[in-house]
Amino acid sequence: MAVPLQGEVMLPERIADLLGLGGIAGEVVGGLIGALIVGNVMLAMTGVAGPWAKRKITAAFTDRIAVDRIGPFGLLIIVADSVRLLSKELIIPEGADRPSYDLAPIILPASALLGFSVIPMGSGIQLADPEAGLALVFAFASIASVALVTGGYASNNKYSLMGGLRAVAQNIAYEIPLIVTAMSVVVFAGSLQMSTIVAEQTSTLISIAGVSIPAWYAFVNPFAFVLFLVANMAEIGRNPFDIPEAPTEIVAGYQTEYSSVYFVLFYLGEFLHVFLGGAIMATIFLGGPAGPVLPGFVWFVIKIWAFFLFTQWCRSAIPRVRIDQLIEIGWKGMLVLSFANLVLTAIIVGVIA
Amino acid sequence: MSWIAIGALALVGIAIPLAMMAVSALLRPAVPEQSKSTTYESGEIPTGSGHVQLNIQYYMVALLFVVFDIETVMIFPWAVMYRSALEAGTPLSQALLPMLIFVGILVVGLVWAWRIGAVEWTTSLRAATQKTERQNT
Amino acid sequence: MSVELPDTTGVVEQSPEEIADLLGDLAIGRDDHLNAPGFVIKPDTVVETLRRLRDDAGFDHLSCVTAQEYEDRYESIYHLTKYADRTQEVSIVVPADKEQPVSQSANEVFRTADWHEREAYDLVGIEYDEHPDHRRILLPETWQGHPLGLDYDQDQPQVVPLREHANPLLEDQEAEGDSETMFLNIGPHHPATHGVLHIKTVLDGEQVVDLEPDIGYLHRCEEQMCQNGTYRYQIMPYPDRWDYISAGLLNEWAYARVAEDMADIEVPEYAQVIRTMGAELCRMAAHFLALGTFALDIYGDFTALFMYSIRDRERVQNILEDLTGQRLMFNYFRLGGVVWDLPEPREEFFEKTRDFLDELPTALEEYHDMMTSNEILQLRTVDTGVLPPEVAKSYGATGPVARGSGIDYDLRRDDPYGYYENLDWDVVTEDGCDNFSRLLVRMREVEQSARIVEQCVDLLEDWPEDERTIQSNVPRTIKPDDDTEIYRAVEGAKGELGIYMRADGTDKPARFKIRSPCFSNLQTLPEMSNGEYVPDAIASLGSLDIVLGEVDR
Repeated sequence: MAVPLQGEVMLPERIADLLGLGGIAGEVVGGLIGALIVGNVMLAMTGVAGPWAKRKITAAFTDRIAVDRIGPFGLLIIVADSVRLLSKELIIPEGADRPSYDLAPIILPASALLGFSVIPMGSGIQLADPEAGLALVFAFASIASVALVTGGYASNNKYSLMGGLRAVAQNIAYEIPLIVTAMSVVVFAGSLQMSTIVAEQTSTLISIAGVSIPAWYAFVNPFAFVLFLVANMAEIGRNPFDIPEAPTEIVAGYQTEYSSVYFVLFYLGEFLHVFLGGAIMATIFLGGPAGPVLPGFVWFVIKIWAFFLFTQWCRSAIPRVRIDQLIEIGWKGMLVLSFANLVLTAIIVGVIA
Repeated sequence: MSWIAIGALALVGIAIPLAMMAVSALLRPAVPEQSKSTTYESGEIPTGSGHVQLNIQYYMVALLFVVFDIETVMIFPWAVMYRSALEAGTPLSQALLPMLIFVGILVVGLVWAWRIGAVEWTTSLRAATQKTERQNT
Repeated sequence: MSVELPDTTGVVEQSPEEIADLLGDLAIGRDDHLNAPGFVIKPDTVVETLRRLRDDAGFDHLSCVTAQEYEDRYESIYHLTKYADRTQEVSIVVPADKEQPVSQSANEVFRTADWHEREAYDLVGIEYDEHPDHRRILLPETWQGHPLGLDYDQDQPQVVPLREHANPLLEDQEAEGDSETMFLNIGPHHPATHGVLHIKTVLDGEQVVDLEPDIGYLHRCEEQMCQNGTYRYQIMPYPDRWDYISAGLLNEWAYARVAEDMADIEVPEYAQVIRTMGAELCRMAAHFLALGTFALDIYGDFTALFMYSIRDRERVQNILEDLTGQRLMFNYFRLGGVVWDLPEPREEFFEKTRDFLDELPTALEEYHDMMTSNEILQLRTVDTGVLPPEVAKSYGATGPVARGSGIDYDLRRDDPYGYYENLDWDVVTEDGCDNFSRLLVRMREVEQSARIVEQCVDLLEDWPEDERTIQSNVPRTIKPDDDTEIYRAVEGAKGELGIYMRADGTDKPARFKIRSPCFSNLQTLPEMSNGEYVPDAIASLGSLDIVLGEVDR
């Protein structure tokens, strides 16, 4: 049933072919090189997003200028900031629970990066395409909460502890609505394989004046799209659901005690998770890397950056909810709505088919 | 095999942080000093440790989460098969109804949990007493 | 064209003789102050006297407690007045023994006495019997001596250790044997404490079980500095530094008013109009900042609202800079007027001010769109941090905090000074008693301030050129008569800013006591926060709009 997407080959195989390697050696070398490419592309994106784009975007929302001294548009601040942060002294708090204290900042970015392994980024950049792709990506993404609670608890700091606990409580409240909403997409696509989900969205939904609008699931089921968007904001902990690190309440949440490279890794991990959230949205609701004129990869980047922009917009404009309100919105609102969405989708699909 | 590629990315995902740590270790100074390593509590000396047995209120819903999470796993195969089954001519009663019943049972469970207040944030009894004491005085 | 006066029907006005009759044997003497009749009572009858005055005569507002040391005795003065009619005042003077200064605590009648008496003990050294929490408040626990006492040795070395704070509920929880409570320091170095405030909180999970503000980190001996300055020029710069969040002119007015009343100095009408205009501009600037920082507490650190409100505050500050030559520490008022006239060319100044006022409604609409009509903000602020009016009164809350609890109390109207009574404006109140109401009150007060400024600009523009007297004739040195005492207050940005002064015949005050509105308002925080969630406690603190410079002085 699952039609391989335009007979496309995965990135590792292509690299192996290019290198002229076959068999296991080819797969391993190709896989490693492909992974390095994907990892570094994502790293570069967070590099641009963290020290530069975030500041510029927030500044634009708040009538300010932000970084503009070093390099064109202040872009070289990325270099300056990475050197600055990496060369800071690493201070391990008293009574920190090692090695969990040191593991958390590794798990967080690693889990996010792992999620990108099954995401089709267009222009043939996709590391792997297992049949359970969608389930996998959710599994990888939710490893993050382990990192947060580990870091929060291991820091031996009360703000961190509260931040870590809040993060997990929030994640489990929004995990189910997130997955159940994604399921309503699976009902349409009939597969968990990412490439198939993307391929299913290439058909034309409706043609208006010669412009054909593709059957992106955001257009097919806008309700599910909005639900997923909200649940996703909670999963990645952005406004109005940024309570795990709410600075005005618990200073910096789980990362209060992290300095130097550990702080960079936490920061990096969070941004990777934002991008991963955007990538999941793009893949299952916005036709993946599809788009006119420009190459697929460019469209993919545009889509995840659009999501990033949206998170920053919310951060400037929306108040933060309280933890008990968050839990109630999750369990009483989102959960019920996501089940209603799933059942209605199934019925409508059943009746039409 | 896609798993090799995923494993490769896992390796890279761990290697990148480790590499950054190595670079940082070369760059950063180390000036150990006792007062520096106190945990941060707004500039005051922390009272007690940060490893506290906190109120369970964060996790009253955890059990519910497990139940629903398993359910979502159960629904995955159905969602995958649903359309192709319909296209293959399976009547709606066979393709949809069982799943509706399955979800229905869980919804009944949710309603029950809702009514006994299990999906709510449990309020601290201590805090509630403080509040009533305050209102009474 | 004038402000609508409060409904004072039903508020009985007592003559000093009637109060004397009411007090009967309790009063053992008279010690009249310039602002109010004063009654001397015995130190063990404080509760009885205050209760009688509160319940039978309606003196429900303990505005301030002043303590001081004389050569032969200690003295606590309770400045009482009424929320319903601010012009009625009475001073209760409680002398205490020089060797063993002990006096009964008024805490049982007025909760606000708690902190005021702690401060009196801390700085002057009077001990209060039956006080529930008799500790130092501004200075560290280990401090030796009482700095405002007469025999205080300034050169004595002091040792102040940094120790961990005890969890007040530790014993309870061990007895109950269930989950642990967590003692958490919020502040002094915390993003949401609006300065160096330290809040000792005990949490059970996410909820506050016990909360106690710990102040004094920004204590700068302002009272003593004022006592070392001469009335004429040297004191005026200090008020700018109390509430330093652009409320400078409002604070200066507090000193100007008390000193002018004490020395009987007239202020020309023209100067009064300028003062009124400047003060209301300051109030707008202060409220803009309150709005912005409250948004920070609710929205997070990168909200656009903070920058928007700073942008508008900046415009007000530009106008104030044109007027006074300064942006923050104005030092613009002088006894008997202001230091200089409006900047030339006057038309330009009026135009600039009018431009700002014309654009203000658009800006306010933007705030309402982004803030008060936002559902999540309402979810967060409505019915949180509830402060019932009776509690607010008992704690001596004033300003937007009191008006947000539905208490119709504003000194600009109730105890008129300046040019307010000739202008057309309203006192804003909201009945919600919650964080949302306090936010709304501030936003609506900005509109009213704009109305006042507009009328002042009109008046100033038409003012005949030969009548523009900015200062009356004031003697170079002012030496009020020995033992003249006065307590006067104005409506500052945060509430009732009062000053008590006692003259001793020299050109410097013998006692200078500041009644800070933030000090009293902050005392209500535990009432609003105990039993609530941490985020709500933070929001309540934000809604109080405190400035630590004024709390600690």
